[in-house]
Amino acid sequence: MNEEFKRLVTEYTDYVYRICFRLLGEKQDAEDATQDTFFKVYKHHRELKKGQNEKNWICTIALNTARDIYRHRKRTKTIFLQDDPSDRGNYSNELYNRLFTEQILGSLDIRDKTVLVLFYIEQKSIEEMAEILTVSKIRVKVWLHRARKRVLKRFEKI
Amino acid sequence: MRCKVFQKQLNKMNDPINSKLDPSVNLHIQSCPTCKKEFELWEGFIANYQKITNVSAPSGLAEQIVRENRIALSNTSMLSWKLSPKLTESYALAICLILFVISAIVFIVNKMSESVKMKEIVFEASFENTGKVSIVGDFNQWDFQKNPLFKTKQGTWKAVVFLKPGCYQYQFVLDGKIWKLDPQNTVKIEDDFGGFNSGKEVL
Repeated sequence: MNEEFKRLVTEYTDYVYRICFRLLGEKQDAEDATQDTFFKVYKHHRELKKGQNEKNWICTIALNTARDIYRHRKRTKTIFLQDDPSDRGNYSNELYNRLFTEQILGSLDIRDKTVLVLFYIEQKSIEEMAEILTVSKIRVKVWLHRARKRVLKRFEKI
Repeated sequence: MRCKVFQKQLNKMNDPINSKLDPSVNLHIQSCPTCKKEFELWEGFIANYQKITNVSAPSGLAEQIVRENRIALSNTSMLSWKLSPKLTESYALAICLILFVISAIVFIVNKMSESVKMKEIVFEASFENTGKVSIVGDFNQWDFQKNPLFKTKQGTWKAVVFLKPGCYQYQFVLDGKIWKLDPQNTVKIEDDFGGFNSGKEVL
């Protein structure tokens, strides 16, 4: 398993780290989550069924680990936000948009971010998402719809 | 195209930035300012989300994971004989529960066997011109308040006492003062004071 584990770590560290960072928004948390994820991968590698997509399996573990860390630390502060973007005069257009995005991300909960990351950023299909999140396809669609609505609502508020 | 159809199209599109828009969707966006604004906001949001979170793992993280994983695993294998505090707690709880159930079963069985051994003995006698009758004996430490008799419809006095097998001496006490032998029982046993008590053997 050691060689196999090394291969998995080399191949997926970036991927896991990016997913964790997208959900947690802090580098230190993302690093912790990545380490925990691979520890679990090593511990439970026998549970990976033949023919199961290992990337999706690792993704499931990473999402669960990130969610656990998120809940454990009970993050309430805006995760990326450092400045208040309401005063547009201080920022360039790009920075202004970026800060708005950060503010919206900070106000979303972990489930919303999870579905948005999987669907829009990782470009997973609904079927794959259902497999990763171990829920039905209909539920995935409902979660996605709600997350989208919530983001647009936040835009309206801002 | 109606706005609802446009919403459905947008829901299906997981790459709003690079996907080519359906001509009918495109036409709708041009004609409907609300949907156009929503589409632009959404497109911008996803683009920004991708941009600000497009990070790589810090260099050396993969090596660190392999190294720390090895250390953690060697520690867990060395300490594998030790139970985690959570596990110990649950084992202790389970043992306590089992002991409690066993002692409860033993208690109930004892009580049941005791009650099986006890026999129901009826004492009945007729006394006239008395207001209160009770029975005293070595089974109730000669206390006349413990087993009072009740008056039946036939005018006799009756009491039911549960006794273990053995020989017992007893008398009736009328109005808490007058001690009387059982008039229906011919068995008499001499007491240590030169008198007699009625005797009863429970088999």
